[in-house]
Amino acid sequence: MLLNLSTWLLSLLPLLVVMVLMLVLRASGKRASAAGWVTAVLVSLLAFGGTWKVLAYAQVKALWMSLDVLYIVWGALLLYNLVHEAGAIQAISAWLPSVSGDKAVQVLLVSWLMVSFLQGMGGFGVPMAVCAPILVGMGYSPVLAVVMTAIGHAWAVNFGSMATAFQALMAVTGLSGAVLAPKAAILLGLAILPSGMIVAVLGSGWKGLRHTFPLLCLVSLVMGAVQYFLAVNGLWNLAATTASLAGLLVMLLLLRIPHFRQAPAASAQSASNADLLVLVSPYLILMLVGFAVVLIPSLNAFLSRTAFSLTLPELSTRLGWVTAAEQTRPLHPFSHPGSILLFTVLVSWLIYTRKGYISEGAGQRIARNVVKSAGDASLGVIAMVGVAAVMTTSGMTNLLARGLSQSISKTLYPAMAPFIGVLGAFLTGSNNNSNVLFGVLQMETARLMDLNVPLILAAQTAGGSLGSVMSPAKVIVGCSTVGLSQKEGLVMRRLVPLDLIPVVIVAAATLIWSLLSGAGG
Amino acid sequence: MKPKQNHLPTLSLRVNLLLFVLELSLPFWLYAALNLEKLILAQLLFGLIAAGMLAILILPENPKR
Repeated sequence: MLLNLSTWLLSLLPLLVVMVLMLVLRASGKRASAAGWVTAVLVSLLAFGGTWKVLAYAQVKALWMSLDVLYIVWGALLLYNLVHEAGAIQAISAWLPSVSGDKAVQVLLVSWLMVSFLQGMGGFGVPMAVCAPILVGMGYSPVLAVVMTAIGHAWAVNFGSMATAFQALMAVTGLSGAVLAPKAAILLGLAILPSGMIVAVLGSGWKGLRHTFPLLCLVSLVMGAVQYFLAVNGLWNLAATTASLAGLLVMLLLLRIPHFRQAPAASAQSASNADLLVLVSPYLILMLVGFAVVLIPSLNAFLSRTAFSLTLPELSTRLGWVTAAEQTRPLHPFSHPGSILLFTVLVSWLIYTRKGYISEGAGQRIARNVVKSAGDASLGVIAMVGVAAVMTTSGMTNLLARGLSQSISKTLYPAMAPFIGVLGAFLTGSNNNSNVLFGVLQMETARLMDLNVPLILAAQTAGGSLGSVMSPAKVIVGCSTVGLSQKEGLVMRRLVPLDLIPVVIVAAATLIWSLLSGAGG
Repeated sequence: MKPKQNHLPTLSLRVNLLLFVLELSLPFWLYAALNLEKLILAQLLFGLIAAGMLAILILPENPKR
């Protein structure tokens, strides 16, 4: 497909439709995504030589990608509604003031540290769906709650979720983790402090930021250092999770030092320790089972024995854009995070019932709430992933990225690289898919321009990590537990400009680093 | 003067669920039809998927939800 301004704008059109509908017209995520899908199909058919067969296989591919996400979303919503029914969310909200009377500290604990830690077990917006209701319980508006949790964990996406996004980058580029990890860890490390600062300002204003700034700096330094150390030593699949756990522990320790100590709020009323332990047991079980499945090789191998995947043929548009034949990513039903969530729900239900936390009719209420919120979120995810699949198989995504890379000079390209990562993640809702889409393109462009290849790829995955949290697919999931279904546009309007701040910082750092390291790196 | 009636069904919980089930299951049948080279059936199924997307786009939200 010939690259010129009109073809480039046409390939941008589906994304523009989604963004205008959500950001300007405040349309719901599912409606905006459906409009994006219709636009992508029309542009593909009319201008990119798409055939109905190409589009049909694109939809099959989209379904497979969606299944992976939807299984987690439904499981997470089931777990959330169960703990909500038992009163765990209210108990956590009531317990936080007993840790510190400082609202800024409470906000940082939930929407910077806890949310980043949860990213370690499963992404796709689930950490937001879990943590945002706690913030609402603390008195924040639902919109602010989703925005804070989204920005707070943006730095942890790449090395979180067992570093699936980073593994994808290694797989598509053929470069080793030893080459890619140091630069990716440094660029993402630079985003830790800004994301914490934004959360502090949103949660407690500039005054809150001023007095928590020393805490923020110390905890950011610890998290950045731990993430870097683990990533460069080959433990990238635990880097973000361990870093956020270290940050959480350091924060709790610092709160004991007289300088940082704030008396617990006078109104702090929390459940007894035993009650609290029972109420939060689903999260403990989730962590235990989640990490056991990932970290015990024999258990993982046993549970991963059963796998399903689809074989897709080579696809070609009338204009000659070829998508190679492929085997879709295998779906392992027994080791899948969705199954871990369902197992957790089952065990937690038994514990809650035994301890008398489940009242009559709870099952029906939970089922109704899950269907209500998951139905909306699922339609949005299916449509948005469909947009990405249609654009990729029609050559539109490649054209978009080529246009961006070719219109920028060699000097400025390093600053553009994170934004290409953002574009891929915004479109697909996933850092992983962004790396699959654009990893090779970024590598080839960097080689042609004689730029530092690992640096450009690190910028790609850092952009994908930071950009994924503002993608419609993730925002839809994040909104599903705070009563914002169909109002995702309100969140996007606040989230997008704020989330671009760490992206700009990473872009500036990449540019400076590239200028300092010289050609080829 | 009577207000203009809107006869379109709304995206109620049931309609939402129906659309979800359709958008989730139809691509499986589509894949099977494509593999068996039943092209007319495949076209019909793809048309149904597209109709589902249009329904999400066009149908008004249920104000009671």
